[in-house]
Amino acid sequence: MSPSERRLQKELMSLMKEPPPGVTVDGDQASQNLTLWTIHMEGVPGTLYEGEKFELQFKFTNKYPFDSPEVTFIGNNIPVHPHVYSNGHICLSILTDDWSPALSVQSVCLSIVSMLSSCKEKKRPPDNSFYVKTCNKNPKKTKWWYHDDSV
Amino acid sequence: MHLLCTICSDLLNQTENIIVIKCGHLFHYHCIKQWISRSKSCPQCRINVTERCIFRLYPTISNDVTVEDVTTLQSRLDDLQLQLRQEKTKCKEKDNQIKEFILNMKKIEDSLQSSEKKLVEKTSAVIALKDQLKYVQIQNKEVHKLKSENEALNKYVKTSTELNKVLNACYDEVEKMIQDYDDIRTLATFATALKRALCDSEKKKNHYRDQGHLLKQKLASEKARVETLQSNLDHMMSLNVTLTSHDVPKLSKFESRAEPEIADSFKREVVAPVPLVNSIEKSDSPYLSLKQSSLPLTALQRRPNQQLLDKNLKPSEFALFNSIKTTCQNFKEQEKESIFHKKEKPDVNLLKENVTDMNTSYDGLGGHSKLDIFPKPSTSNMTRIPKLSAKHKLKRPNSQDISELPINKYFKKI
Repeated sequence: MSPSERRLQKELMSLMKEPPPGVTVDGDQASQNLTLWTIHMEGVPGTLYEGEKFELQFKFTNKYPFDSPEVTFIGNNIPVHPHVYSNGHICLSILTDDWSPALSVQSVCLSIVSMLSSCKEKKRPPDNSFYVKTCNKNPKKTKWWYHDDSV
Repeated sequence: MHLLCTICSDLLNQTENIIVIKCGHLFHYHCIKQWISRSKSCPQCRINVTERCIFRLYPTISNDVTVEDVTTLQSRLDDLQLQLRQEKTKCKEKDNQIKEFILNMKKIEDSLQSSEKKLVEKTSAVIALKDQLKYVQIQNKEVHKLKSENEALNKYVKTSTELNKVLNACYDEVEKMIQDYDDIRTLATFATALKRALCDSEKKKNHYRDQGHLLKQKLASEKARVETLQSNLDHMMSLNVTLTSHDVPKLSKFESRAEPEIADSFKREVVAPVPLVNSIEKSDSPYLSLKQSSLPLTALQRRPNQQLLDKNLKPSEFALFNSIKTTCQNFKEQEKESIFHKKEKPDVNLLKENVTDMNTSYDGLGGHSKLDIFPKPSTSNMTRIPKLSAKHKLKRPNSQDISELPINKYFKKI
């Protein structure tokens, strides 16, 4: 068993055992294929996304945790957020440049939940249509320009 | 106390290489080394890290094995659970594989059964085909036999046709054909056939020659007889003339006497040729040209509109036609009896008629006015008619023609 799988297995176990509030992992799918996880997320009560349900997809390489996972929103409901593009790509620094092996799926989920929760106005990123037309399928290939550090 | 490496989330054991960064965070050496090759920062506090500010730790941990704390047990449990999960998944996979194998087995068994069935069918078919093959072979042998027979027959037919050619074709053709031939046997057969044909033709030739001689002799004898008869006839004629000129009243008496004489003489004449007639008819002498020339004449005779035609004819044509007619009629009688026999009887009648005619002519010589004399010969004719045979009855309507016969003319001239 490779170190990446070992770590992913441990993370899956802990996530299933002690999930953060509003976050559940599709354990069967993840245990079938450890490199592709689907995580269900609920809008935190008291925020703009209260009552909404989102789906997050995590893709891992065999260099995890040194390589960051590829995280995107999937499904019918993609949150309308200034850092979330309509194709599900998320503009979040810890997913690319600020990734650290000390981070985990749980911490990434918490970051996204906090990102959504801190949103004050539901709107798409200003360059949404252009980006969606021109971007690569893999969000990690995008050279992100983190223009807003507030959220 | 249990320490965790945040990079691999495993426990830090004293047996492993444990390092500390200047910020105080602990990692496995191999973990932090991999990370530093990518980013020279602490994974936990993002402080700048260089190779120089990494230090190895050598902790001393009590070897109290009896005391097992909860965290190690928990981690072990986690590991075991993880292993269990993995094993379960493997088991599932294996189960699925087994199911697939079973399905495949079933399919293979089915296919095996079907193929066995097919095999049985094929074997039966093969047996049937073998039988057919045997039958065909037998037939083939028969066909070969027939072929050889056919070839032999063809050869036979060829040789026979060529033999035919040799026998019937003209000299040059046969010469060419024989030159083209190489086979000695066929040539020999040709030669023998030709020899045989030659012998046959020689025999025939001899036979015909003999026949010719015989016929010639017969002809000579006939000629002699004819001459004698002619002389006889002449003699009779002269006698007749003298008789008529000198003693007319005696004629009636003479008639009765002369008749049998003449009849006798003619009888002799008639009797003599009869045996010859047949031989002449059968022979190929040119004297029998009458027979051949009669063919168109008979055709003319058969025409039903003959009488109508006669009326439309010119006098010259009519005479010609009439002469043809008479010959035809003569020939009719010839067919029934013979040429000679036929010729005689009208002569006999004519003689009598002529005698009466002579009578009138003698009386008249310009005695046409004496009409009372004419009935006499007619009555005599009438009286004679019942005596005549049925054959002569048929001839009656043509009595005018008889008056035109050459002999009659001859008498008139005299």
